[in-house]
Amino acid sequence: MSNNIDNNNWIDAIKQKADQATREVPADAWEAIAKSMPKKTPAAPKRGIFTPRLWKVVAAAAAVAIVATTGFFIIKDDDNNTQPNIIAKSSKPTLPKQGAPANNGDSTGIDSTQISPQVQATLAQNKTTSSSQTKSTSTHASSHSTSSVSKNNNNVNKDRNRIAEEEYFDNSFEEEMAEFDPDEYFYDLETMQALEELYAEYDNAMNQEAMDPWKSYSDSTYHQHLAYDANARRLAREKMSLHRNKKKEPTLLMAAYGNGLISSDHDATINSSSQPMLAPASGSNNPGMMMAPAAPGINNTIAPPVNYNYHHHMPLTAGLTFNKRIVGNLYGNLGFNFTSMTSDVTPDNGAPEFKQKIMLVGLPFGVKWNFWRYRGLSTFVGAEGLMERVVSAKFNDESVTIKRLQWSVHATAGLQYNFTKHVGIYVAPKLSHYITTMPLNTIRNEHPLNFNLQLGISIDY
Amino acid sequence: MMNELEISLGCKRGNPNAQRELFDRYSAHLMALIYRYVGDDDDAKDVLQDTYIKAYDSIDSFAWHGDGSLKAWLVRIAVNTSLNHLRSKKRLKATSVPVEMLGDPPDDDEAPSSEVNNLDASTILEMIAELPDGYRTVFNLYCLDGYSHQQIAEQLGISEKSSSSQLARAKVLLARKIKRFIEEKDKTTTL
Repeated sequence: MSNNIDNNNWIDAIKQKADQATREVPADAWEAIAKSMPKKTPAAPKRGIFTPRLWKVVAAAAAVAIVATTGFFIIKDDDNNTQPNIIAKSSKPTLPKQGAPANNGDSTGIDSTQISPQVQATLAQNKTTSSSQTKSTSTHASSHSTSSVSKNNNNVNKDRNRIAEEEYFDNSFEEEMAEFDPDEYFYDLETMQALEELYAEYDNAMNQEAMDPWKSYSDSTYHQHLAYDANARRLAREKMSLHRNKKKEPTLLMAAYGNGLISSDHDATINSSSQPMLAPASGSNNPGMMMAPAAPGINNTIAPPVNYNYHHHMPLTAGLTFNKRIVGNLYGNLGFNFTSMTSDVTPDNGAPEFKQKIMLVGLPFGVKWNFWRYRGLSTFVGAEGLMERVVSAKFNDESVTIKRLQWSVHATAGLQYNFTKHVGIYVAPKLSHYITTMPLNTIRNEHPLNFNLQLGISIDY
Repeated sequence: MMNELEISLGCKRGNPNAQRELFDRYSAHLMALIYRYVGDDDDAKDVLQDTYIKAYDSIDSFAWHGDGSLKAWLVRIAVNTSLNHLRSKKRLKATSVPVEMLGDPPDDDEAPSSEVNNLDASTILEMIAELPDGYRTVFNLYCLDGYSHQQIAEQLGISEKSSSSQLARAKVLLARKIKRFIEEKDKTTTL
């Protein structure tokens, strides 16, 4: 062993001794430490914005929201349901009962002797509405795509049937009729009287004990009758409103409803209820132009076509999407969102501008692939499907029931920055294609393929 | 008997048994370490208390990386607490033993040799504790606790050159102490 002072051997020996060294600790050392030690409660985990506990709450809330949204689609979607769901609302004992046989063929089963020739003629016309419906709805869709017309016919009919059901069971009509003062009546009295007669006659027919609509009516015929009846109520209500307000402007209202064209000829007072509520101008090249339909064989002297010009505002969407890693950098995602679409509608007859507002709830689902990642930054591409349902639609003050699901597909590429392990913000240009259109004119109808920019919060786990 | 991981987890939960186990298992070793830094038993006791209080207070920041990691974590706290103690007493600035006061440098042949192995650990600790504060601190940090001169310079606020110089002088002094101790021991044995 070298004795040189710079030789580290002796230092290593000292280090070895020092590492093994212990020294007696004063007996009171622990007591002193215990006294000086702050009273510490059991350590709580560091809590960030999304702690494990909060994660559970967020996950539970999201699960509830997704289930609720899904349930909304499943329960409310009766596109494949042959049973009408109107019975729960019914307060009339003679109306069809839930669970009763639905379709027993096309025979109406109505005792024709109990119904006036006017009604019989109308019912006969309604029995063949499938062709006329197709025709009128084709007019509606002609400005967009002819191929989509036939696809939408059934939905349009169902929407109209739905409206007819709701209007039929609206008891406020009777109240309005009771309050109606014929002394104020100064315009088109004959038409009003004819409507009332028709309504009363048809109501009587429907209330006959011998007539059991569920045994003899087909579902479509039943709805046609309801539509017919609701049409009469609506017309009566509109007329009352017109006369109360002393307005001699039936054109706008009638055209806005697009239904029940009126003439002074009593035999043709009420037209087929199969007319759509709104229809684009036939042959018009402007998709934003809508007009009341011109039914064949009807004297349309009071309700000339009204065109509507649309100015669509930017749709606003808010939602939450959860991404679950499937394998590697591939994530599956599921979420829910809400969309608001507003349009300014201007009739071209000088009537005031009004708004069309549509609210939708959506269920997005898809996949996302993170193809590059550096620290918290990542880039991704993704494909997504979106199923939406209208929860609220208003055309001016008129509520419109739209039960058709809105389907769309989306492709996206984006940049994401994760500021925690699970939560990040992202920006993603998105290309969207809306497969199904709505009965109301929206920006999606006009531009089924569009490009948009998404900003959002992403939750990956 | 708890292992290190169990002790650390128990301390994080505020378990008194784990806290006591942490003290019982490492306090003697830490006391020796602190003593060779501060050079005084009373001060060492104070620093030991401060060390444990800091450890219990910051146990949440400890991450277990395997056996020995808890002890290493405690040693770092003890060293830093010792240095803070010396700073608070302004004893680090007082390291100024003139070269001439060091006496004759030991001859190469007189440097400690295998006799060191025959010394017990407490004797060596006493010798280290007797070194001037600055020399002792640099010697402890560099030779026994693995710090570099750059790290020492940053810790003590001195230049690396000064650190190196003080280390050399610390070695000279310690070697001389060891030599004298062995010589006196030999004389006693002879008598």
